[in-house]
Amino acid sequence: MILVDPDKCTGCGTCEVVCSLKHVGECNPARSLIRALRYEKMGSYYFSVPVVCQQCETPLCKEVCPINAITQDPETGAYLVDANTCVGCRLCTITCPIGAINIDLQAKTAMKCDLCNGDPLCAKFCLPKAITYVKRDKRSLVQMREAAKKLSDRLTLIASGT
Amino acid sequence: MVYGWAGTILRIDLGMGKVSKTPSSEYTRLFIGGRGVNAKLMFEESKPGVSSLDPENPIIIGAGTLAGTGILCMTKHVITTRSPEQVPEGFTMQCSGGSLAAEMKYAGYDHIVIKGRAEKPTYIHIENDDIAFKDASGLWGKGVFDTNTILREELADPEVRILAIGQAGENLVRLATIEHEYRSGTGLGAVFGAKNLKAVIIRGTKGIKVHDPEAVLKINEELLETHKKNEREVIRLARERGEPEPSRYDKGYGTIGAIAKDYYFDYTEMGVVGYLEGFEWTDLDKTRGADWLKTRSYHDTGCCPFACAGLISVPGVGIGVMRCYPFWNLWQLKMTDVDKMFEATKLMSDYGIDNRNLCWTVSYLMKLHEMGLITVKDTDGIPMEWGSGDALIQTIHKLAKRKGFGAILADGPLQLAKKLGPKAEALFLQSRGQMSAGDELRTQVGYALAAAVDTRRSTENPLGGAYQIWERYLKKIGLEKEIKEAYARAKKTFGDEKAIVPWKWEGKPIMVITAQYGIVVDDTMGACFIGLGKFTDQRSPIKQLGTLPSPVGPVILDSFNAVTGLNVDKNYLISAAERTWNVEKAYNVREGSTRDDDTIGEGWHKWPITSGPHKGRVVDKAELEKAKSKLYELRGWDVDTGWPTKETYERLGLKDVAKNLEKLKKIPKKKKAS
Repeated sequence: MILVDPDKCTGCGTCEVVCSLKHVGECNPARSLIRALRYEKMGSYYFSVPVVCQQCETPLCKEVCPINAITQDPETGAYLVDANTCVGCRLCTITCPIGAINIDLQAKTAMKCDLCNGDPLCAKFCLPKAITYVKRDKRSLVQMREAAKKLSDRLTLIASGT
Repeated sequence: MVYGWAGTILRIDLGMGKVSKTPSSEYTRLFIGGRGVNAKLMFEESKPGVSSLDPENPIIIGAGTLAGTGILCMTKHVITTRSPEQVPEGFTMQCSGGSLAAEMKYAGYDHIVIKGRAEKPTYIHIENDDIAFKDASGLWGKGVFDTNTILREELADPEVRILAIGQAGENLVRLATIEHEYRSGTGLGAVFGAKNLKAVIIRGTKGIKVHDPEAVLKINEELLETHKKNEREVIRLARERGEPEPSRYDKGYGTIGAIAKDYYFDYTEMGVVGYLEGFEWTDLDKTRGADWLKTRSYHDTGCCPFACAGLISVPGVGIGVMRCYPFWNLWQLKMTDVDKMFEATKLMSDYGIDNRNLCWTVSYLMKLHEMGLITVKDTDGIPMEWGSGDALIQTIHKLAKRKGFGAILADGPLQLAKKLGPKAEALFLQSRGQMSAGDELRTQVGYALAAAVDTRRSTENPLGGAYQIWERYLKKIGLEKEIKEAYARAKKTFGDEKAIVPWKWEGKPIMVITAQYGIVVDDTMGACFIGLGKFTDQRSPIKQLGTLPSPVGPVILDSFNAVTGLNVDKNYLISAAERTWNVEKAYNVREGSTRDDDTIGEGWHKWPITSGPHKGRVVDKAELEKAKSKLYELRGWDVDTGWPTKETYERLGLKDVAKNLEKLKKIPKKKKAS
């Protein structure tokens, strides 16, 4: 699954362009399945936060879908939207807790991250590693390690007296 | 099917409140996009003699052809107009990064031409096909930061991309800038101000098609691989030399770290301290960018993963972006308080002021103060003491608001120099009213030549690292063998090994021409040479020293073909660059420019470097003139007037330009064969 660390995101938007290029055949952040959303502070600077489907343990989008258009890929664990079944009723977009599933206005169906068959482009092209791909069962360990690293860095800083 | 381009040129008349759209394909075949098409549009859309602040002076925003296609570091937009900063006025353009170029194309436009003057303060809101003129009265008088915040709230869209001016642009300050995401460039802000135009806002959701998506992704993959390889090499070298583990700045992230002391002083010997004094300055270490960043860096942002617009946090000042120039500015003002320079930079970003030209001017005032040529009376009680950040900050406030001596400075530094008397004016270093870009010209005559013949009279880093050998530094790090190899290559390429010595004139004209076409190719594609340099093998220029690198940098040709599917060769891109350069020149020729205007500030010829290993060096004027003649010849220009000949225009497919100039008698007379 895809892990996101906004602390490392530079806001370059490469993830959005490569994602849309792969999934809808054009460079268009508006149709990308991952979005690097901007938060501007007092006009003088901004942060970007990548938002992408977290493949929930209890996928509300799947639960709420009245016509069972969302199914799970047994290989990658990704929840996939069947474009032929989806009618674009938007129930999933209302239910998703992080807003990571949306109606594509050109395809007129819901679209969400499909993990690119286990090799997600957004993670592949993210140089600062704000977006990384990990196996589902390794997720907590990766996050723990990241948090521990921050703590260890801070301790080193304190020890060096600066 | 058009691949790569958005397909449309948008023309906006602010006075009439009208818009029109034409296909960009009429221009792209010859000029490609970005800086190229902008140049041709500028020549066509402007009438001779129309001043920069006249409503009829067009201001043209162009997107780089590869911007928005997902290839790393293709992030630049170009703004072209007649410069309010130059005296006499002439062609100018700025090329800045950010996310505006991509958004323009997603909205459907390759170029936007704005003319006329709105009756009251206005901003233009472009969202795909919808173009709206909105009242900006409530924004007038506000800084760039406030303007951004208010506009995003008013439009309820945090994702809009904004080009805006601050108070300086509104007040028609000649040094005012147009700001986009903490990036700006040369002084163009007054052109917006004169049009009553506070901001241009763009939002696009249409997308761009590329010819070969697989190839585009492959190019990106290779860029990342090369970068990782380079990074491993930096780490390996550091370990081999027993140096501490390289920081991310040592690895090249962010321009601030990269331009810190090592590069500009130890390596290239090209920094300037004070008002052109040389570069031995005992306080230099206190300004080392990488050290300062260790405690001040807050978060990395930028238009590519290298994040050169890194966020800085300084207690008492707040958070903001430190651009790269401020480190040169510190040296120019002999300032060691980096925090204070950050405060000044933030202020200049908010007012929208060109920090490069302003800091040169303040440095000049400090020199005059030291020599006793001015007193505090001339500067409204502000003591212009070397190193004083407060002097800079107070000058910024006065300039933006046109208060006191700031009102004179607002009409251009040259006006202020004139007011201060003949002795002071004689010390003012300028060419066409602009000071140099911040590079030391007396140790780098190639830079001097490039600055003299540049179509916009000022450009940073015109030769890059690939042409000049800095032997003192290379010896220090033990690269004796590489030095010998470089000289051997230079002998082979230029017929003279002196060609790569920065202060020798041999070989410089052809280097300058090649490098200038390279810059135009980058500006046309929207490529950031700093970012791309880090993703490619250009990081080791030592291997290229002594050769004449192609103006088409690595990756650009492949990217262009993958995106457009046109399968051109590199000569196509170089021809477009030559054409662009000639049209930019044609604009200046039409406006009265001759060979005599191709100069650098007189001081570079008259004032020797006062200290350091290059003590005593000046730029030899006779040699510069000789090099100019050679360069004109190589370009196919008339040596007496410095004008392109009819044959040159025709060879480049610019018959219309030649015809236009012929009517104005601005085509050199044919010489009899001798």
